[in-house]
Amino acid sequence: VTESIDREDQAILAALAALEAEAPDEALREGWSGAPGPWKAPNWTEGDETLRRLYVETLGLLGYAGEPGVPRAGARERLLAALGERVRKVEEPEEPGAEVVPLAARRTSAGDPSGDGDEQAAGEVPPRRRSWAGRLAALAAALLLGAALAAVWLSLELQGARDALTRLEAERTDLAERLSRQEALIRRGGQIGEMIAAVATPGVDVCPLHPMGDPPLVPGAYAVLYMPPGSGKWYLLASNLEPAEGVYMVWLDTPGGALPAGVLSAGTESVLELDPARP
Amino acid sequence: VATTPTLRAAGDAALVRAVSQGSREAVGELYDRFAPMLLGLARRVVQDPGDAEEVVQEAFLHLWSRASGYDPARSSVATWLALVTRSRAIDRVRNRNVVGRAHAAAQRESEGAHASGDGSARVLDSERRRRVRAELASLPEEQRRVLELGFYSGLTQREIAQRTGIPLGTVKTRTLLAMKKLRAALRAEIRELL
Repeated sequence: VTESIDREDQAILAALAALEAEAPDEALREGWSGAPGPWKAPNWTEGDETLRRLYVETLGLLGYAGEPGVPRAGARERLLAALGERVRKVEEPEEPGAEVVPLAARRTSAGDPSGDGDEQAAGEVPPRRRSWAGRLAALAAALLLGAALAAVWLSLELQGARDALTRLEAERTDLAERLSRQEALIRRGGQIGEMIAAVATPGVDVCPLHPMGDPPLVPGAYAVLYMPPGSGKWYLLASNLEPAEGVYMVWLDTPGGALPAGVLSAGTESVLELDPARP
Repeated sequence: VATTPTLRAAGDAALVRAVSQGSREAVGELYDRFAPMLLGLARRVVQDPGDAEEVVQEAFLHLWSRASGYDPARSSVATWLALVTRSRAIDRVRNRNVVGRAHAAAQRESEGAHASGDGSARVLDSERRRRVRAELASLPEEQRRVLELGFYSGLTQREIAQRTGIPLGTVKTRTLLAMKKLRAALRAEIRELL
């Protein structure tokens, strides 16, 4: 409750600040941020601003406390005629046909009974100069926008080139791997071809091997054990092993037990030179 | 410059927007709506009908040149104009010696009068005036005094304290109490302005 009371007091003080401002309309427009004073709240909220608005309106109602005045005859017409002698503060874009009076003329205008210091501030820029400044600002903005668009376009192009380069590099690597595999296959194919030719040579001792199991564990598998004439070496030619890319340990089943005979490398058709020490 | 029926039906904020776009007719319509109230306020501050009239003219010339700065979220048009008029009137009191001109001014006032505003608006203003006066009168004397010195005489709270010999803290307390009571009592009138 204490806090809410404090905040209400602060809202009232903020509203009263508009009374002490030199330009109350600007103080109203700036809202709390423009209100000076020791009551400046650190966490001014929308609710506080609403409360301030209510108190501002309370102050505005005090204008109704006096006896209403009756404007003298012709006061309204004089006011409307005086409007033409006044130049609107140029905050909005220039309108075609809008009256533009030089600043010097405004300062010496006899039709200005108010002596408005605020409307003739030293820092005020004449409309024409403001117009050039506006055009320069627009040109600079257009150049900046163009540069930003060009940068974006170049960035996109660069990214596209990088992507293409990466894709080409991947394709080159893939092609190299395929070439390498093909060369290996050709080399192995050559060896196998020689071996098959050797198996088919008359006088070669050939011993076909059949897959084990019924039905066979690997139905398409086939192997031949052979010894080329005069070589004194046994070779094992195996084909359709599964998995085809595996590495197999070859065992010789002897009456004395299984004996290791070497390693058969992967391939649909592979040849292993058996250990000559084995029978 | 006559006021068209369309402008007559427009809201206050819409009229200020039209003024910001260069509509003199909108200024005329706003003048019809608010000049009586603003004249009453200005006269109470400057104590001179002629000066009051000039102050009101200045306020509307200010509106003409600064209409684009009006923010309807911050205040109603009535309050905006009232505060501008009050500020101009207090400046006039401070800058010129208006004492001694009251007699001549009163004579000028008798030269003729301009009827402004339509009937319904005058009735609304009359009722609003009655309520504000009644609530202001119902405030405790010491609270009403500090409020009036601040609003109509343009004194800061420190100046009120110096002039009346009341401690500054007491001036603030009385002002806060008066504002709270007025806001509570004039709730309906405030709602009309929003």
